[in-house]
Amino acid sequence: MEQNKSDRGKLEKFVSSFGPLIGFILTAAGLIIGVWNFSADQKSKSALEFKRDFWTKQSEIYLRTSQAIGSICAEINKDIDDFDSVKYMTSKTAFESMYWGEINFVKDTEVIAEMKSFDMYIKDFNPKVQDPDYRQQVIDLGNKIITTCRDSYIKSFDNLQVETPHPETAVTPLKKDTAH
Amino acid sequence: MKRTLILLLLLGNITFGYAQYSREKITDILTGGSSKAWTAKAVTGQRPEKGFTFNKDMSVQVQKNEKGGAIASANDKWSLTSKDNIRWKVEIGKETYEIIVSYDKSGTQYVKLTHKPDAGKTTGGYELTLYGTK
Repeated sequence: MEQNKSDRGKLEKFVSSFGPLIGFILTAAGLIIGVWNFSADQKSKSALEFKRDFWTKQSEIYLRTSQAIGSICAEINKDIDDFDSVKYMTSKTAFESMYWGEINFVKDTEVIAEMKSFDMYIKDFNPKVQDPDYRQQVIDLGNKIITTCRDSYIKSFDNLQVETPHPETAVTPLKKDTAH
Repeated sequence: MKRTLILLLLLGNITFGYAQYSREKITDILTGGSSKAWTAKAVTGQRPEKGFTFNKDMSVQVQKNEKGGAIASANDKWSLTSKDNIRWKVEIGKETYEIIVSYDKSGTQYVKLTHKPDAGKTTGGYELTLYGTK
């Protein structure tokens, strides 16, 4: 009886001495876990935000490229009497500026390779040349680039969902100057 | 009936008459129908090729610069391949090029052969601009 009383007293003494410390440790652990979770969540949110921002920029670049290609093809499709050389040159300049500049931001090797071929076709376009095969070739290649841009854009959307970059997007850039 | 026939003819013209460069069309351009010689007028990079003669039987004579300035001719095979029937590749012997059929500012047709650098390399690509020999 006396022994039980003594044990109880010891336990009460222990609780009264270490209770606040245990409480503090538990609270601190809770706080640390909370902060860690919040930080991980924030990291994931900013990664997603970054990807979303990149995706938006990519869509703008692809749209501008498609617009330039569309205008070039529209002029190439015209007869010499309707051909607007000013409009053609403006679109060609816009396309070349995308090809040498902004498209490298996206870094899709397939798009870049097709744009390079397109650039070679339109380099010296002469509206006086009435070769329907040549004209159709340029138009078809232009359409192909727009389709490839769209596919690349959709692929990027799929990559928005995942944390790690998709291996297909981590491509090495095609050196333009080496083949020119 | 007459209207349907005209419509069908028009559609046929649009579908087949204005197709892009096909294997047959590129073959015709390169061989001129049977055999055609092409001279390399512009070359980027140090290349020995001076000209090609493409034959309809898929053989090709490649003229190359030899040491001492002499030009030697070697026989080889050539073929055309494409993944999409839009961008064409020509294989001449062991070399593969993307082929672009275009026109210069004066309206003269030329053929550009673009050789990409080997896989994993950034240098070693080159281009040959070929003009038909009259």
